[in-house]
Amino acid sequence: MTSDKTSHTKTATYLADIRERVGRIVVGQDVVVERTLIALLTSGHLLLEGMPGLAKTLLVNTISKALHLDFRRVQFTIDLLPSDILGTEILDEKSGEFRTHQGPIFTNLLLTDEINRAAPKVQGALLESMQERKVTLGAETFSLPTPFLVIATQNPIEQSGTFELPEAQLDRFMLCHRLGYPKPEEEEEILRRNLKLGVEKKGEGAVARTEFDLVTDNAVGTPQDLVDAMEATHEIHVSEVLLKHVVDIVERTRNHPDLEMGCSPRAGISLLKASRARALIQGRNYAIPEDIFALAEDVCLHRIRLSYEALAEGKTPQAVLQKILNDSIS
Amino acid sequence: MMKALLFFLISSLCSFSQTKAPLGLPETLEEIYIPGPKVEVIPRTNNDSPLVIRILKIKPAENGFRYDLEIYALDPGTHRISEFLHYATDRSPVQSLDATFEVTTTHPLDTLPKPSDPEPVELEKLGGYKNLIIVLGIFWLLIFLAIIFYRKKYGTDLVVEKPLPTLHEKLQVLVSVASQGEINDQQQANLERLILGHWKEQIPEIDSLTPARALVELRSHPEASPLILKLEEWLHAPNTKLSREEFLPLLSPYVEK
Repeated sequence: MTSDKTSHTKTATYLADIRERVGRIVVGQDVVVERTLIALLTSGHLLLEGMPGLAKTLLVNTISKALHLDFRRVQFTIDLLPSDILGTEILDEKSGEFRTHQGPIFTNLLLTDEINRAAPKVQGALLESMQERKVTLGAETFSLPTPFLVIATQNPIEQSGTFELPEAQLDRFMLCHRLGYPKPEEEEEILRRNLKLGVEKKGEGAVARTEFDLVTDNAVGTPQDLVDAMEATHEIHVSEVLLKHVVDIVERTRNHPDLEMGCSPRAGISLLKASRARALIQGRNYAIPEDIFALAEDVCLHRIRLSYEALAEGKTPQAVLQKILNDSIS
Repeated sequence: MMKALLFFLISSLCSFSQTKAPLGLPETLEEIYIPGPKVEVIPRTNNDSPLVIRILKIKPAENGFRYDLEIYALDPGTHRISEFLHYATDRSPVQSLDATFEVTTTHPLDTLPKPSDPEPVELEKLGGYKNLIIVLGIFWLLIFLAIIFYRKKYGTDLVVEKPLPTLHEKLQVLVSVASQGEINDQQQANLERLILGHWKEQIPEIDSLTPARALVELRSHPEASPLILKLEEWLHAPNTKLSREEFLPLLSPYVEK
C-alpha cells in the first residue's frame, strides 16, 4: 500500500515536472498540455482546432523533448500522397533490390498540421495507421513505435480547399480540443519573453532567436517513467457510480432532440480513459465527476451532430452539449 | 300559245326529274317549279325522316314559285320530295310535284351500319342533398356533445399533468432512501448529480458557469466543498474509510428543508 502510494506520488511529480518544463517555454496553454498528456498516457490521439500562431508546434516539440520522445511534423497539403506519410519501397540501383523507406509516421509524436487540407485517401491512410498502430509497405508490415501519438491540427476558419473529416474519422480522435487565444496577462508574458530572446551568433553572421531555441534536449525523467505513468493511469480507480455518470451523459446525447447523432460507445470509453489520466495528473488515485465534466466537451463535441432543425434555429453543438451537461446535474 | 307550251315543257321536266345524291352528303336542287302558293318544309317530328330539306331561295314565277332546295339524305332509296313539303297557306300537301330524290350508297344496303338506339341511363343524383346534410349535421353534433360530456366526466384525469418533481424533491427522496441504507449504484449516481446541481443553483456566481467549471469551483467552495468532497470519497475512492453512517449525517440538512 505504501509502495503504491510512493509510486503514485512519484508519477504525479513526474507529470507535474513535465507541465512545469513546458510552461517555461509555452505560456498559457496549460489545458492543452494536460490534454496532450492525457492522450499520451491513454494511447489516444488529439485533434487541436485553433488559429495559426497559437504555439501548437512549439508545444508538441517541447513536450516531445521533455519526454525524450521522437517528434516529427508534417504539413498536410492537397498534393500530399499516402506514401509521403507512411513511406514507400525504393529501388536500390546498386543492389537491384527494393529498399523500404519509412515515412514520418514512424515516430513517437507526429504533428500533422492542417489535416483537413489533405485528400481523403491521405487522411484515411493516416487514420487507419492511428487505429491499427501498424503500417504495411509492400509485403511487409511494420509496427509503429511506442508510444505513438498523433496530434492533428485544424483551422476552423479557412474552409476553402479543405476536406472535412467525416464523423467516422473524427471518432478516432480521442480528444478534440479547441484552442483559444491567450488571456491578456498571458499575452503580455509571451511578448515579454519574446523581447528577451536576443540574437544568436552563427559563424560570422547572426540570427534572431526564437522560442524553439529555448527547447533543450534535457528530458524530464526517463522513458521508463512514462511507461510507469501509463501503467499508473490504468490503475486509477473508477467506481460503479462514475460509470453511471458516463453512461448518463452518453445516453443524453443520443436522446437529445437537437442532435441527429449522439456519442458512440467509443466516446464513453474515451471519456472514462481520459478521466483516469486526468485524475492521475491531478494527483488522485480515483476519478471523480469533475474529471468527466471537464473532459466532456473535448471528448463528445466532435462526435455529435446537430439536427437540421437545431441548425435552422441557430443552435451550436457547444451550446447543446453544455445544456445536456447542465441537465444531467439538475 | 308558244309561251304556254314552253312553260308546260319546263314544268313537266321539273316535275319528273330525279336527282341522285350519296348518303349523308348535301345536294342542291335549283329552279324547282311548284305551281300554286308558296310551299314550306314540313317540320320533322321524329328522327325517322329519311330526308332533311331546306329551302334556300324562293323566286316568283307565273302561277307559282321556283325554289332552290338543299337536301340531306339520311336513308337510302328513292324519296318523293313533295312528301316533305306542304303549302304555307293551308298546309295542304303538294300534289303537283313529281320530282324524286334518290339516295345512293356505295355499299349494299343490308351492310350499312345502323346506329343503335341509346338506352336511357339514369343520371346520378344531382340534387336533394339538403336532407343528407341535415342528417350528417345532427350526427356530427351528437358526436361533438358526446366528446364534451366524456371529457367532463373523465377529463380531470387526462388534462391535469403531474408537475415534474423539483430538484429539491428528487433530492429528498434519494436522501431518505440513502438514510435507510437501500441506495443502489444508480441512485447513488443520481444523488451525487442532484447534490452538485443543488449547490450549483444555490451559488449564483457558480450557477452561471459551465458545468465543468462549476464543479471545479464547488470543490473549493467553503460551504459546498465539505459535503462534495466527502461525497466523492464515499462514492468514488477505493478502500475508503468513510462509512455510510459517517457520511449520512451530512445529508440531514436536505431532509429537513
